[in-house]
This record gives sequence, structure tokens and C-alpha cells, in this order.
Amino acid sequence: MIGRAAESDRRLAFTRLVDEDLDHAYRIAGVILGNGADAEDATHDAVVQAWRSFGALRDLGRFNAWFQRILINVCRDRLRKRRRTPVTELVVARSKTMPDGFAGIDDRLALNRAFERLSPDQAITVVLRFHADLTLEDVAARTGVPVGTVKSRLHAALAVLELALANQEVPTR
Amino acid sequence: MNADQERRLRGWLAERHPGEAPAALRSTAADVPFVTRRALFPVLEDPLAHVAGRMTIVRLLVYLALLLAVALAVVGAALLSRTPFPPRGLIAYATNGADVRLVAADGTGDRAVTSTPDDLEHAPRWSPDGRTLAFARILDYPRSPLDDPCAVVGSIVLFDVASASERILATGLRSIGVVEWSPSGRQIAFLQLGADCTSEESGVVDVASGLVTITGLAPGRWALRWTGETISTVGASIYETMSREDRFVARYSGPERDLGGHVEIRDRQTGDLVDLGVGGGPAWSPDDTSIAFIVPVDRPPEQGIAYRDRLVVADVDGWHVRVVADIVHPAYSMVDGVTSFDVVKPPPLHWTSDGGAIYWLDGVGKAQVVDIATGRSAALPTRMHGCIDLHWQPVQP
Repeated sequence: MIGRAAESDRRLAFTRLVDEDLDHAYRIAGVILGNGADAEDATHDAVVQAWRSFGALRDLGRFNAWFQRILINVCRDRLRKRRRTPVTELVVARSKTMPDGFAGIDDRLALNRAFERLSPDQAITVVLRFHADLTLEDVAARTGVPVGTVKSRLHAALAVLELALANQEVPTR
Repeated sequence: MNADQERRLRGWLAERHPGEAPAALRSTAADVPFVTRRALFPVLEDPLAHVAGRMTIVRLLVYLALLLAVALAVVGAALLSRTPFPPRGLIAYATNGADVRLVAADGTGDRAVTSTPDDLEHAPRWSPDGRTLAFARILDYPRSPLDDPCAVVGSIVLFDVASASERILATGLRSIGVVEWSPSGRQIAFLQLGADCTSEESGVVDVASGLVTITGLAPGRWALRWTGETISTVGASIYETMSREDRFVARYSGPERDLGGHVEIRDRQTGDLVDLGVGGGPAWSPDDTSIAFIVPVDRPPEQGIAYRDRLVVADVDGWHVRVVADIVHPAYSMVDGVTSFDVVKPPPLHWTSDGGAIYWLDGVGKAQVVDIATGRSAALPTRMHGCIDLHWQPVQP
């Protein structure tokens, strides 16, 4: 009976923690992967992985960082797999319904192309730094690499993105 | 990266995010924290990726072993449950010499159940469990029903196959025409000449006690139907056959194939009439969902080797009609000079108790049987001499 109650408490705790973090995780995955379907799958996979190893998490206060690290790993795997899979790029026509508050369509297309050319680790680093607004130390913690590695990844990634934003041809990797 | 470029990059990243997490990602059940389409159909989405990317070698081997075990179980079950063809069991038949006989479905072991020169035995019917044979016995001379229709001459007899012993279940009856077991095997219904000595009446015998109950007059009726444990009489016309649940009646408009009679199904509730086309001899399946009938193809030859009929099965609504088998009948006069069988009428069809096969008596005294699912046909390898009525033993799986 005690065991069953403890199991029930564990489920409740996990559900509550994930529910709190779910939207944020989904957005991060969406930005890294570039579409909602992949983000949904990645978030789900991350949740399932987190549930399986939830018992190993001793400090529930660190759930957010722990869960995001799992999510980042899942996204990395998906990006790597995607890079091995030929993808047919859809041509998006200009549309009046598309928001254009921050930049023109040319920016978007250029950044799309440039982002696709980043390595999975570079793309993740950019998203965590410039979308999730994490410090370099937090990015290092999420990605499991030293801060120096984060810096080098960021440097290489921004070099590619800067070229795109300057409307210059991004060299093929 | 300058400030403007960073602003544009942040804007692009912000626009790239997909919004709120869909509801499917949220916990929907206490026992399954996160149910999504991927959780429900992980293998269907990308089976190879699932196997290659998520399974360790050991787990993959375990899954393969499980798959192999399931496949073996399915194949084994299919082999074990496959309906044998021809159906197993014994065929009980009544002869024109007024005796009852048994023969195995493979044509072997033809033997007499009764051999009574002074009595007439007929209407053999297997109990639902196939263990006991019931038949009617009418005492012959000097109290022949031909001489005195009201003579008390009838009995219902049970024959235990395992012990080869018979028991008189009920006696003191009149001339009995039909015997039918109830679905439970606890009662046997019969039709006999009524007290007025001209019309029929129905009765029921309790198998355990032998107690006879006369259920009423049934003038002009010639068949019995059990609905659960309730008996009723049917058969206002020999060209009609009623489904067991009493809703549908199949009839054919004439007995002679040359006249092109049609088989029709009438829904007694709605009045709908479905014309199934030229044919005859309709017989309902045991579960009342299908009806079998004969569609004549050839005219019986005056001289020749054989002629053809077609065995057809239709759903009760008449929509799904399919030819189960082409039947080749021997032209009797050419086979052995026997012409007593009325070739102008389609042979009466019978279903096996499991509904898996249809059988009938051909013109040379052989049982012909067709498997409904496969259309395979077979003939009993030996003749049942003088057979006028037959019933295939139900075989428990």
C-alpha cells in the first residue's frame, strides 16, 4: 500500500513538473527543429525518456534543467537523423498573411537556409543562447559541454548566420 | 554580430517557434502520463527507425523471439482449428426399406442401426452434441397406418452411438412424420397424425423423463422449427422454407427446373421481397444469415453422361450472392439404370451443423458435400443404398 501511494505521488509530481515546463520545452524544440510536428514528437520523446529515468532525479528543484537537457539531446538526435535524410525544400511564396514585423521575407529565407547548414550542436547552441536567453554557462550545462566549446560553437554558427543576414551567399559545408 | 543582426536573428527565432504545446502532449490519463499518437503508434510511423534507433540488440532479439512465438502460435491454432474436409463424423440415413443405417463420412463402416422387417424406421436426427441418434419407429403389419390411420403405432427411439444400444423414449404415438431435437438437446419435437386422424399435430418429448406433451393441431404443416426451446410448426407449402428466427421466408415458385422458378426471400416484417433469380431448393444456414439454393445450368439430358447445376449462397438481404461450386450430376439412367430419383427437382440441400458445408443426396445414393469457404466438393465414395433421407453428425471441435 505504501509503495503504491509512493508511486502515485511520483506520478503526480512528474505530471505537475512536466506540465509546468511543457510549453517552454515545446517552443525550444520547435525553434530548434523548425516545425510543430517535429517539436511535438521531440517533446513527447523527451517526456517519455524523462519519465523512465525520473527515479534517478534526486533534486526535483533541478527538474527544469534536467528535462531541458534530455530535450536537447532528443532534438540533436533528430537533427542528425534529418541531416542524413534528403529533404525536398518547399518554396514558400510571399503572402500577405505572413507576419513581417521584424524583417523581410528575404531575411527569413536566408536565415532558414543558413540555419539548415549549421551542425545540430551549433543550431542548438544558437537557440539556447538567443531564443531561450540562457547564459553561456547554462547553455554549457544543457548541452553537456564546457563553456569554451559553447563559445566556439556559437562563434562558428554566428559567422554563418551573419553572412546570411548580410545577404551574402553562405558557403556550403 | 552587430546589434541589428542580433535583433533580426532573435526575431527570426521567435517567429520560428510553433506556439503552445498541443493538448495531445499533455497528460490525459493517470496511468499513462503522456499519451500521444507516437506513443500509441510508434511502430506504424517509422518501423525501421523505431527498430534501429531505439532497440538494443538484446531487446531486438527478444522482440524477434516474441514475434516468432506469436507466428508459431497463430499458425498452430490455424492448423488445429482448420475445418476438415469432408467433414468428419457419421452420416445417419433412412432407407426405402424403412431402416436406419450409419456410414462414416469417408464411406467406410456402413452398418445397420435397425433391421426390423415388421417395423418402419425413419427420420434419423442427431442430437446437438452428436452423441445420440433419434428416429421414429412405426409398427408395421398388422396395424399398418395404411389400414388404420388412427392406429397407435408410433414410437420415438434413441440410439446411443458409443454403446450401440437403443432405448424407446416415447411410445403410444400415432404415425410420426418428423423428429427434431431442441437446441439444448433436452427435448424432441415431433409431428404425428392428430386425433382426428386426418390432420397433423405437434408434440414434444422430454428426453430425460420421456414425458409426452401434445402442443396442438398443425393442419397442413410438414416441418418443425425450434426457436430457443419453443417449438412451432412451419411449412404451409413445400415450396417455402422459413428462417429459424421466423422473419424471413424463402420460397421458390415451382419445383421443376424446366419451368424456371425463381428463389425469393420475403421479409415478413417489412414486406420486402428479394428475387434471387432462377433456382430452387432453398435452405437456410444454421444461423439464418445465409441461404443456399441450386441454380440449374443444364437441362437433364435424356441420354448422356451428366448435367450441371450451380450451388449458390446468398446473404439474407440478397445482396451478397456468390457461386460456391459448380455441381456435376450424374445422368442416372446412364450410370446404372436407376431412374427413381426425380431429376426435374433440385436436390434438397442441407447445412452441416457448424454451417461450414452444404450436402445433399445425389441421384445414385451418394452424399455430395461442398465446403462453403473454399468451394471444394467431394462425394461419399460409397453409395448409401436406398437412401431417402440423411443427416450429418455434428462433431464437437
